[in-house]
Amino acid sequence: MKKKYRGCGFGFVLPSLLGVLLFIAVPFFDVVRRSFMKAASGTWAGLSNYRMVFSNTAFQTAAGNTLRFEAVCIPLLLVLSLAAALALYGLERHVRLLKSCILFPMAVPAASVVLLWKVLFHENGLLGGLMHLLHLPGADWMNTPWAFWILVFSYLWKNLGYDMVLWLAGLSGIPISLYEAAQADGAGRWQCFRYITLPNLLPSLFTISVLSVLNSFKVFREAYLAAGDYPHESMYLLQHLFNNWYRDLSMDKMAAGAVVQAGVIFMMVLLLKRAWD
Amino acid sequence: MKHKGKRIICRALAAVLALGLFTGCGTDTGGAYEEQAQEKKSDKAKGRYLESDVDFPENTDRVLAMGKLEDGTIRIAAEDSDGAKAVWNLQEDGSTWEKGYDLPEKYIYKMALSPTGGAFVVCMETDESGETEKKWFYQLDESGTMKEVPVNSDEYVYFVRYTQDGELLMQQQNQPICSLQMETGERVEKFSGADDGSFFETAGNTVYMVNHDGEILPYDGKTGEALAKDEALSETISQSGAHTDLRSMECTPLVFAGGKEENEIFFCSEKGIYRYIKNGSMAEQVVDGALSSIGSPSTGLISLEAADNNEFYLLAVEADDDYQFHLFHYVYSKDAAVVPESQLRVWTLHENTELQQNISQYQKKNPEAYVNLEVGVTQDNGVTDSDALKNLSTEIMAGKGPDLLVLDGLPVDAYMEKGMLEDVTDTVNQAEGLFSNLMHSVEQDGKIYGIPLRFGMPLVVGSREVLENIQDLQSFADVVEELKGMKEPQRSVYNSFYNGAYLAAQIYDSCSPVWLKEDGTLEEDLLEEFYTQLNRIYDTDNSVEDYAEFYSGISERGVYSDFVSSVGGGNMELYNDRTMLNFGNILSVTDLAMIHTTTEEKEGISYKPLAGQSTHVYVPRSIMGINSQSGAKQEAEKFLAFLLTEEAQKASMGMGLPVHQKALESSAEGMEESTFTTSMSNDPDSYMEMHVKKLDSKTVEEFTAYVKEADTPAVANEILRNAVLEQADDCVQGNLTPAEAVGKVSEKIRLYLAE
Amino acid sequence: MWKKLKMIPLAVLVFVCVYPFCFLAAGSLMGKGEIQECLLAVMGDAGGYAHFPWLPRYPTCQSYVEILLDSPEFFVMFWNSVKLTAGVLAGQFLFGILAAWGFAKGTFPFRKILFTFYILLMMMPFQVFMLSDYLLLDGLHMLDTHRGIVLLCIFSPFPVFIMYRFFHQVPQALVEAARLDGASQWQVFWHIGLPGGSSGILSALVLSFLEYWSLLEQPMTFLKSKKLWPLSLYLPNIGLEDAQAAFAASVIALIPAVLVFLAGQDYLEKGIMAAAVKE
Repeated sequence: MKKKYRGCGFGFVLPSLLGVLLFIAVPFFDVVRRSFMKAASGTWAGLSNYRMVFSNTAFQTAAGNTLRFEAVCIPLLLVLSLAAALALYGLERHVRLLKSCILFPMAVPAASVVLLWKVLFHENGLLGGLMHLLHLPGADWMNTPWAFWILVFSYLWKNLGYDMVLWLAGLSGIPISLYEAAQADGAGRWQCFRYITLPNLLPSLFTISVLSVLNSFKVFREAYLAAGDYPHESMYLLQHLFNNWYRDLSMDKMAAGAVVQAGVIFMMVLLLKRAWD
Repeated sequence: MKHKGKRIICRALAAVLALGLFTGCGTDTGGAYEEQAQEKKSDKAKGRYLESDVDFPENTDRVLAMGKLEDGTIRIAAEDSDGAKAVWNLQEDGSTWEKGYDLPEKYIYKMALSPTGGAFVVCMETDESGETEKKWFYQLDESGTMKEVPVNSDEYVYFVRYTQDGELLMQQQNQPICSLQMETGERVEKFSGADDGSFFETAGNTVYMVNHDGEILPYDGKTGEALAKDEALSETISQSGAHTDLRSMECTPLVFAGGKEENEIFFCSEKGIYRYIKNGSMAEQVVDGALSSIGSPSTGLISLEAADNNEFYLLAVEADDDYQFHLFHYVYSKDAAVVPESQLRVWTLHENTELQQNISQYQKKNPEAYVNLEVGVTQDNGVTDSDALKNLSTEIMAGKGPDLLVLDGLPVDAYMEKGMLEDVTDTVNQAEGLFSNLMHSVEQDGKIYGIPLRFGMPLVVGSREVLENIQDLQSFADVVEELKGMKEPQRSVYNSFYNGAYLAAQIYDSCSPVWLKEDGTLEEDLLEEFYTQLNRIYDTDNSVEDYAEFYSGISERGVYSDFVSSVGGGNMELYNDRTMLNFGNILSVTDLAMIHTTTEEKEGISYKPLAGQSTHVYVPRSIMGINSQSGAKQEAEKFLAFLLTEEAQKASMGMGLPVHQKALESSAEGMEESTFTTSMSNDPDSYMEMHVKKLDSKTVEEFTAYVKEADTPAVANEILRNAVLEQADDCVQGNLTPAEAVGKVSEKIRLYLAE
Repeated sequence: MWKKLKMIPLAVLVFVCVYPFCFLAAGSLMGKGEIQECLLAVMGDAGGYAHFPWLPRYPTCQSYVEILLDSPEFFVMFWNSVKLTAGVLAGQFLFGILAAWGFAKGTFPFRKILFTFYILLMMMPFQVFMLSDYLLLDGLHMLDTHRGIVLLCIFSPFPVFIMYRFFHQVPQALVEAARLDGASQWQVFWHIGLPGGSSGILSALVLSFLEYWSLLEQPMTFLKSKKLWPLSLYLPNIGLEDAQAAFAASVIALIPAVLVFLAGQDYLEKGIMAAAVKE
């Protein structure tokens, strides 16, 4: 029986596949090709671009920051949104309203947000005023290592609601009966959480993680609008670097850097998939 | 509850979309014009209007008006060098004139020619003191018989024009446009709502009033009734980017003319001559401004007439030709290529009117050439510098880059490194009369890749003894501190309007060349010294608090602009004894004239190039480079060579001094006397004036001698400049020590250097 | 007691999430003078700190009037945003759904590999593709058009990824039963797949809408003429100098996104809930 169905379904995928190949895969392979060539002249350069990229301090800084950002943000977001979901899950009233409010930041376009961030975090901005009131020292936040945390905050603010809804959905999929049975057996809150809730949430984890990583790249938009080409060092991400290399016509370095980034992401996705499957 | 909420939301969504659709629709036609115009350009391979100049009657000094008779004859009113004025008619052959009749002897300051053959003249006489003015209004008929019109208004007359029917319309200061009754001198104000007028034009019997917002409002000339606004007309003008603000009383940014039929009109803006059918869907460009004198920034439009045989006459004045009047004649030529064969694309990051001017000149000399200036960051498109550069990169990498580049603001080092710039050493060597010492700012391995068209120089103006003691930055600070002890209480040492960043900008160029090592890293010690001395200089004059409000209005861009670092503004203060020292970059001949006047009239005052941490600095501007991937290199080199000729170099509009020695000398000596005044609105004591004298050859020689000594190009790195100026204010306020400031700068550029 | 304590962090969270909106809304109702006064410390060089009230002292609709009535370009851009977003959504709806179903229920070889490939491509940031996309669009003569951008975005793997999850959990038993009954592949898709995954489709649409409504990089790179710009590009270019226009414009740009989001929220949740159920 199964044999009859082999190869079916391909027709559905075909149109999309063609489009993806043409509009996404081809440009991607073009980038890979360029990473092996010199920028202007188009002569073959072998691995020299990669060597240049790895030894480039700006790349190291940017890569380090990007990794640091991911390592900090993703777990933080996952935990915080889960906490929020748990908190909301137990409530009876106002759930809908609260959900809408927390989800709200997702709908705000980056440019509008940037205006607020500028006013908030400028040396003489609102936050500074608040600190002043509390007799705490202020600073030009965007130009200090705090800038990194501003970026993190921006990311969390935007995506918390989204992940929270995903967790909520996952939570509501767990049959109440499981909890009832466990409680009847004398299990406490923490044990319920650890042995029922968490394992049942694992499937959602993969989707949520992938989506969160995807969204983390979008934070570049806000950073760029707020701080321009050369923000404070702690905020300087790979995308800033690629942006600037592009502007300076260093296509070769940019292509190599992009391929490296792609490779890292690829491995990460594979790992996640393995864990999930 | 849930359902109701959702329905409301859906309705709201629909409403928003509908609103957007409704209001957006009307303006959606914008795209159509350009597309159609483009199609036209590409479809028709041949046929366009060619420009020629019609000679005026002999000895003509000044042209007062131009008009067209009902039979199609073109007329002008001209004044010759002896002061004799007359109306002349253009003959059939199109080049000779026959006198119609004479005009009154008194000084004519406004006049108009009636389509019926007569004329209207406003004469004026001022007595010796220049105070009282008396005005006379005269009407002349076809044979020149003069009759005074008893107008009882003393207001200054801005514009007078005739409608097709022979009715005279007049616009005076503080008065709405009115129709003048010739018999009685009565002013009939029949145009309702036309009191916000900037200027007006007539086309046939329709009056077009342009107000201060740039809106074009049509009125019926006979009844005075306001007509429906012509959307397409306004659209075309605003889409084309032509300016509509009045900049002088002689010329208007738009001129209109009536066509053959009642509903056909023509108008001319800086973008060209257009034909429009009233209430039609679009206006059609008939003569391309870019391919004629119309597009030149120095051309001022005065009057337009459409002749019967599809030809046009345009009266204009050329600012760069000593304000000569020209009567341009446009005739259609079937065989002339629509868009000339050889096209050159020049790309500049910011607007550059001088280059635009040069392009007009070049195209006039080379009718087959077409040079298109693309601006990366315009007022309209509002992209950031970085975005514009990225778009440029994309174009270049895609092989569609421009042929020539203005390298100001571009990452020149990166471009040179990647071999993007063509070697132009030959072009430099072949050009004659340049200050050859200024040609080496964009150079690698002895080859030149960029040629500055203009330059500036840091100067310092003060008393001779003081100047003698200024050898470098430290002695400059010493001198400033000394002066503080010596000055009178109400004087400042220097023009201290500015905060730390502004002050730093003024001495930036004289110090920055030494801050970058060979490999591009920062010389931290020298930068620290800069901040230290900056502090000392700043501390001598602390009237900054008074002007806190002044700063808050100035955007970030303003701090780093030319105006701040130029030496021109400070001259007023020094001349009027408010300050003792003035320093900054000299960027124009006017600056030199001001300095000259100051040194002539104030005892013991002199000037010299400012020695900061570096000496003999010059600031290269409008640096031109050729794209090594360009397909039109020969053409580009030809254009570049033209830009270095004396003629092109003389078109100076504030970008800097010409690098061509003779051009510099002749524009310096050709400078007219003028008077400058400044004042601040809320401070009556702040009024200052200066009557600037003409330059004499001695001063010019002295200056060019200084120029020839300059050998160090200023650093053009924007990122470094922004970083340094950003910390300057904090540093002088005491929030940062010089060492800390250097640390911050170093941090800022570290990433840039690492990339 | 727990519940009360839980409320505090929640309340803080809600405040943080909603404040920006209040900020923008309040600012949009302020006159230019008031804004400058509040933000003087940030815009200029004077000392002191910026302050921002909850409600404007002198509320005025001036900014809205300026934008809605006096700036024709605002509406052109608004309409451009609508065009782009609608175009992309329509295309994604078409191609993406089919592909998601194919991946979810199909049995052709290399299915998993291809899907992983999709995910990988999805994760690449735009900078990587910028030049190559430009060359591609240029070759197709679609630079400086809306078509070009729409075409590029239609084939984004993102909606496929989202919808995959929903289609995946349409019960296989149903599908097999239908096939046994002789239904063709298309019929299975149309009658079983679509209804079953409808909430997924809608959630993908909502998410895509939010994404493309504020699309920034593609228009900036591929659109030269300002009259083709979408709203998302209009906002960044209003600096602190004309802040009052920025506020009003932000609020107006926000509204469609919020409306769509509110309308689709239910589907979003329902669909996600369904997806999270273990197979």
